[in-house]
Amino acid sequence: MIKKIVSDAFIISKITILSLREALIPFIIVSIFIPLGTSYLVSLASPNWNLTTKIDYLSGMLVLSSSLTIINGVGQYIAEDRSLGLISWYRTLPVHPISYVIGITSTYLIGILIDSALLIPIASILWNIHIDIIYIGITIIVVIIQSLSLIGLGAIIGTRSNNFQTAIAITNLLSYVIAFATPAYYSINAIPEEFRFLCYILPTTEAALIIKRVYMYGKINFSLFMVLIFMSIPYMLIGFKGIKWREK
Amino acid sequence: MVTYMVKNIIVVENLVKIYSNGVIANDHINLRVRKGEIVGILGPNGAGKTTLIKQLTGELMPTEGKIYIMDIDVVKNPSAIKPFIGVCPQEGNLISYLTVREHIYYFGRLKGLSRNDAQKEADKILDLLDLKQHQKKKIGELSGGLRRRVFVGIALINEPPIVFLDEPTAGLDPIVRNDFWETIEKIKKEKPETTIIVTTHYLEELDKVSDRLVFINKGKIVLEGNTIEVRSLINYDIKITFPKAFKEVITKELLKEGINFRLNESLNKIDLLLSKKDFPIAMKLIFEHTSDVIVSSPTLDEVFLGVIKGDQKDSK
Repeated sequence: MIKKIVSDAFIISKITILSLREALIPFIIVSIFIPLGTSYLVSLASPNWNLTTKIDYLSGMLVLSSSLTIINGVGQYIAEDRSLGLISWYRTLPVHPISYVIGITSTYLIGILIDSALLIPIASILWNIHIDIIYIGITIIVVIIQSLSLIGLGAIIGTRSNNFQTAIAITNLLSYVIAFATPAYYSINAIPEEFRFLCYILPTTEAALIIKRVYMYGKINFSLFMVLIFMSIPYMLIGFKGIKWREK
Repeated sequence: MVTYMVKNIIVVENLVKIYSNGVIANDHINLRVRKGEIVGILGPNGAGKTTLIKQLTGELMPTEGKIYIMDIDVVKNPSAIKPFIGVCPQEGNLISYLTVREHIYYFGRLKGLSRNDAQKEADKILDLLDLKQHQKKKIGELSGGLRRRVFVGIALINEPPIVFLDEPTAGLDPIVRNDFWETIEKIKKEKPETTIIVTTHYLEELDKVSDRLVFINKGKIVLEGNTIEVRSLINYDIKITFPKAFKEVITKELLKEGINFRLNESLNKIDLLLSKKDFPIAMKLIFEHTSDVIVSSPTLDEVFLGVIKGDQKDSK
């Protein structure tokens, strides 16, 4: 069963990646030029920023861009597949819904990997922040874990929205909530108390805090890392349980 | 139980599907399909054909009733039948950036074939459906008819015992539709063990290939039988089209001759539906007034709807 799920996910990811044959230029622009351009613009805007502000900004960019890419990407991709009738095909095959979701997520994860792997060295040079090579690896692991935990939310939105437009509206709304409630650009204390619970239930909070501390103090906070891992498990379980594959 | 399962590859018992908006799409459907049969499911738009197919393929949950395919309870275990079926969905779409061959190959892999077997299967299906010369083309470069053939190709991967074709000719021009049914005839000859369930609007097309016809209207089976039986039950099997200007006079004379008929009016022409036995007299009468006449077979919408609505009475 697990072997079949993994093998099908691999095949679907191959199908999805083949789409890059036609969309290679936009993919390269998004993956390479956007981090480069954004870092450059921020370096122009922030000559007087202190190190903490710069690190807050960098960790915010890493965590938020990856989480929003996953939620919007997966949610809208699935909704589009539904409206195009591609899910009808997959549903008639002996394919598990999890294989489909993991398969289509692969392109986004590749994009996030390239994005993060480029953003950190570019930003560290342009913003004058010293970041060891090992921290790039740690950041990528953290970003991937929080992205994986958010896949399920995107999949629920994609499979349960009435139509493509609804999926876009919901993913956009969720993106705003995540961007607001993740203490990336500011501390948790800056978030109004009545909304602070959102910080505690979002894996992006832990991800942002881990990355900030690694860059600031050069240390991994293992307890935060464990919290992130444990938090991602229920997220994934809820997400994959909530996918609506068979029509009611 | 086991005996009829062996005989009947598909068994549907009292199937009911009521959507959340209260629409009764299938109303106590009972159906049995034998191995190797080609069953045509006909009915007007919204009759419940696609809903029935979606429940048979395990895509849609029935409200009530039982479905057994090859002895597997589809309602309880929909994923268990997937390896045994091939489906050409009505609203399915192909992947624009994949080539014809890649479609067959990757869907073959998802049906559990190894890399080598999927390649061999692709060769076999491309040959069977005359798609070899198009194998490297991307889907966007294909005509509607060729795309439909790819749909069928995907449904046939790994020789499933049961193939569901939901409105496979919808939106195609008559020539392409004819090509498509020739392909189905070829499959019937080369793979006689394959059971095919096909839905369509076009009665005359199913005449050629199907062993049995099932008519659905408003979610219920209203007529069932082999093509000869069904033909004998349907009174109107000829359509004569003539200019609207002659409606009054021709109608009067047909009634005088005691001919049963049905009229469908459009902007400037009249479609006269009648039985073959009345055709010579009707033609003689019409030719007395006009030679601007087209004779054809009526479509399902024209003939079958008349039958199920009891519209024969209109002509009396």
